[in-house]
Amino acid sequence: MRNKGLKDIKEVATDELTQVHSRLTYLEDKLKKLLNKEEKRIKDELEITIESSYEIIIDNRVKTKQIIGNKTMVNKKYLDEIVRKCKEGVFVIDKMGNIKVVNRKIVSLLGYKREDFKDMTIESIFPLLGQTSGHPDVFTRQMRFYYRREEYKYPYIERTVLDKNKNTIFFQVKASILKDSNEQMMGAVFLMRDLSERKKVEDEIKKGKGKLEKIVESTKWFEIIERLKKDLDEKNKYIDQLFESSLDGILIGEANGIMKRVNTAYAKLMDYSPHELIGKHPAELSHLEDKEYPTTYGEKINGSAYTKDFLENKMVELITKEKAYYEGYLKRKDGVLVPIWTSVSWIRDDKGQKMEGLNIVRDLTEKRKTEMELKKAYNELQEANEYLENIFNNSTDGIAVFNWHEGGKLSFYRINKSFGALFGYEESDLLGKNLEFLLPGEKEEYRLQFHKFMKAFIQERKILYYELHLRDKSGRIIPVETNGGFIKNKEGVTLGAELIFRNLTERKRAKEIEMKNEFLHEISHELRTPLTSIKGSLDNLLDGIAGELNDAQKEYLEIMNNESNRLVRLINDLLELNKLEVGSITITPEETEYISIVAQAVYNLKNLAFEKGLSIDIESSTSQLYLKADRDRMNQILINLISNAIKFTEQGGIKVIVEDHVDHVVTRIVDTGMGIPKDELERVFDKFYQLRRVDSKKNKGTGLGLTITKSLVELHGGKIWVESEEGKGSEFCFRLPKRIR
Amino acid sequence: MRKRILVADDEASITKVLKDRFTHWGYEVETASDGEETLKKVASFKPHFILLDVRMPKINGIEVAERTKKESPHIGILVLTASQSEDVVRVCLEKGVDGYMLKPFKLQRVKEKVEEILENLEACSDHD
Repeated sequence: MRNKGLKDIKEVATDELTQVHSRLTYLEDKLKKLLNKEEKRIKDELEITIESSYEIIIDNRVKTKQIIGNKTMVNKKYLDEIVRKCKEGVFVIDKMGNIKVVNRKIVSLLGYKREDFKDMTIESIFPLLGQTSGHPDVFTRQMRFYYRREEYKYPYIERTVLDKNKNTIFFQVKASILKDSNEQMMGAVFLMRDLSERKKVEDEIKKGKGKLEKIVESTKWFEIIERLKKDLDEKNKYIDQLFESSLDGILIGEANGIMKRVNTAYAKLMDYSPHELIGKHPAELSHLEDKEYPTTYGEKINGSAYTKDFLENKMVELITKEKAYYEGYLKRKDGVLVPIWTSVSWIRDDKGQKMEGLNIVRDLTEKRKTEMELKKAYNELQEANEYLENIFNNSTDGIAVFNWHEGGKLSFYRINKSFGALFGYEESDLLGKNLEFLLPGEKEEYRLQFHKFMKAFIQERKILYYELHLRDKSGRIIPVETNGGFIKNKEGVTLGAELIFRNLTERKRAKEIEMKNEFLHEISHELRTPLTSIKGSLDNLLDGIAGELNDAQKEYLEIMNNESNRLVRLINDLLELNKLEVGSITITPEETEYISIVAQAVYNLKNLAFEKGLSIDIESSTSQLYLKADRDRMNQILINLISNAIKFTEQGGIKVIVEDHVDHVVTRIVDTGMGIPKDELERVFDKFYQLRRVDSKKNKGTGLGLTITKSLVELHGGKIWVESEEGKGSEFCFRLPKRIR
Repeated sequence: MRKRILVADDEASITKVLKDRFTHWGYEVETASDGEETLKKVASFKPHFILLDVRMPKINGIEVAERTKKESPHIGILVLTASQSEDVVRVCLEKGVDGYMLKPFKLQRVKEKVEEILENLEACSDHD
């Protein structure tokens, strides 16, 4: 539209230009003719004024006209005649400015009647001269000045004069000063040539030229407008290109959010064609329902958060802001969600009012995919880390991680629980400290061992098992076996080391026990072999194989026999005690009726007591009593204690008392024997403790029986103790839980 | 017919004590001081019974027992050992020995055991 209008205007302007131009040519022609005509008239009809200087001298002595020097001399009569005959307007004023003579022409030009001129002055015709009449000197001076200024330069002046009706008429004016023969100024003659017609033509030319200029000026604007239009078109094209070439979606929306323009990228993002989108509201297209939606990056999204209301409110929220950003989803035509980021800014009009919203929409699919991969990788890493952490913390071996320092120092960085337990330290106790911190300083052997390890492991990087002796928090020496490795970065630079410490205390102890056992068995074997020969020989001798023996010989041989029996018992007890001490004897507790065990033991030892004339009785509140115990070991305990009682009692008897309690049983073996001195009570259960006894060649003790008994009771979770008064008897008591915990 | 007993022990004093006593009790007794000799004597002397030590030079008592029982299961074997190791007892019984006694022993007890085993073996062979 604009283009067409512009073209029309241009055409009109061109037509006008042609018209004005031809009119001007015509006018200029006419003007030329008028000027020529004027020139001619002046020449022909008023020689007097052409030739004269500015003054005419009137002299009555001159007949008509006479030129002397550069002065024109005329007489009055001649002047009047010239005035009358002149075709141009002429009037004459006296030296006071009063009009004295007028010709017919001037009367008609100015529209006055001849009589009107009687009272008129020069100011009536030339108001500009202004109030000079009535003062001849002033007027003269004025006139002279006027002439000097104007007439020297131009032969005529052109000026406006007011006619009777106050119309402006253009005249060419020529004034001549009138003097008398005494060179006194008498007045002036004014020749007035009407230039109205020429002025009209000139005005028209002037106007036409103005118009012409205006038109020419306006054609210049056309070029500018044309150029601007071209620029504008180029810019529009450029903007269109920008708009379309963007990889991000661009959406231009009305202030209310309705889509006004979208680029291909935006439409493609939603899998619509641009015209399908224009006129729609984003909330209308992308709102979701409460269900699962697939997304372009693989994850499934529940749509419950993206209702129409939510999106509309969001739009309102975004619209109210100067600029805003939003991350959400666009719903593709096929229902798949595209994750997007959008920025909202405003295109404003001149007054700053929001006109259109500009949305730049970026597809975040690739970003989300990367994020998911990163998240997955992170989770895997986390899991792996937890896994490693678990291994680290749940290891029964102590693990310590060290930082590496120049010069081969290792400082604690982390320790696991087992390490803490092994050496009794908290992690915070050790952080930053060197491994040497755990080295016991006092023993040279351990120091050498440590330095050997440091040399081999740290300097020579030999990954081997090393045995070390380190000190725990309480100062105890812990034998450990260690091995480990170095932690290096990608470039192979050592960052630290990890060492695994295994406590060798148990292993060492087990080894020691094994060696002790072997040794004891060997001793036992080696002792038994000669004892076999000795006892066999004694057997043979006593049984008379080598002939009859007298009583004295028999007695000595009996002693030998008894003592070798005692040696055998000692060997047996030693082995038994050793087994108890190292814990290699285990009991097999089973539900057992206890009274019957007591009865059996008493029965077995009855004869032994009767031989010494001692009574032996059982006292029990109950006839049946069940508890969990190892039957054989129970028997052993009872036999030991009862036979001991018999051994140390010479008069009276032995009582075995069984007390049934709720959860335990107390058995008391009470004798009326020699008793135990108070100061020896504590040592009764010690190894090789024996009461000094005078009597008996037979069944001498080994000094280990009570020690073994105590161990067996304790193995059942019980407790043994003794009460005694020297000379009155002893009471050995043991308590057994009914259920072993 | 007198029963033949082979006493196998590397301790000469032990074999002497046993030989004297069992001879006294009316047995025909031979002795051997190592495993190899024992096996030879088993072949030549054809004992009804062997009193067998475990720890012997050349061939130990357990192997002797195993080989003997394989060839002549009717020969009674009583192991006499100074070792209290439970393993020894178990292995001996596995190899088919008829009894086990820990050194030192009462000679009377050994005799009782020998007689008991011999009675059992005879009863078994009667049945066969």
